[in-house]
Amino acid sequence: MSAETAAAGVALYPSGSAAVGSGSSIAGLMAGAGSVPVPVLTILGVSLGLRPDILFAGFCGALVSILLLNSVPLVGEGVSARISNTVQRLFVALSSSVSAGYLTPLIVSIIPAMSEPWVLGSAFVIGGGARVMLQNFIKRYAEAIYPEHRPAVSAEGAPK
Amino acid sequence: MMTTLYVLHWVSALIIVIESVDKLHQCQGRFVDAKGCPALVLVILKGIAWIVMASASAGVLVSPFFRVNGQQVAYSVFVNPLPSLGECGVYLGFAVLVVRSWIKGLIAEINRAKMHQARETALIAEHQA
Repeated sequence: MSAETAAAGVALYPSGSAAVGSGSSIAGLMAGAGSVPVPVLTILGVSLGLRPDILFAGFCGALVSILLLNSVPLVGEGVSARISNTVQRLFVALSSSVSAGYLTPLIVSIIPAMSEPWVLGSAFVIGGGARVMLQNFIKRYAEAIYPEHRPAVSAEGAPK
Repeated sequence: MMTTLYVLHWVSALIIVIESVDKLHQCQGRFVDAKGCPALVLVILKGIAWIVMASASAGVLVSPFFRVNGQQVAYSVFVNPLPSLGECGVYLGFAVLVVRSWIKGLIAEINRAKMHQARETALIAEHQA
């Protein structure tokens, strides 16, 4: 990790209003543009480091994926199935926004020169794709790292 | 008084978020099936409306947890964590409407089950006769 990247990573999580923004990059914007402190999600006095704008973008992405991509399809019939699907949809929306909230700073730390629209757009995409894309991404890299857990492949090349 | 408002506001927002994700899923089916421009416009408007409501309500859900130096703050789209009576009333009224629609759906489901049961009983009686 270069010095610049490390600096951006530190600036992502300012301690109060001490951190000072740097130019027009998202690190500067996230640091609260100098004097204005930006709120972070705090539960029982513990700062979780989640930014409201990124959370909001992720939540909108999850809603749009429910609306357009049918990310949580209806399974089963009857009242109980509908209730369980609704609860599942609610948790998909909430956890997608949390995924966006935690993964977008990771992207910013890899590419520190990203401007704000890029960051919010990537948060939107992460929130929208968290349900399917993230699962596939983790599975793919888990298989690459742990080849012994890869599903057995037959002689024709199709998984058994 | 303030605590009551606070709790009512939060619970109403939770109900609206639950309903809006469900409605958005319904919009998805109608969006795929929509034939012609007017039907599509209706579905798009409904989707926009529920997305706006869901995002505002989600803001209410998380706003109590956003703090700067231990102090609660109002931030951009997120509402004031200490709601006014009018603000709370709007959310509460809409949540009551949502709960009403849930009860209505439940009653319809019970009636449907009763009808199904009666039809089966009649069929069995007819078969036995």
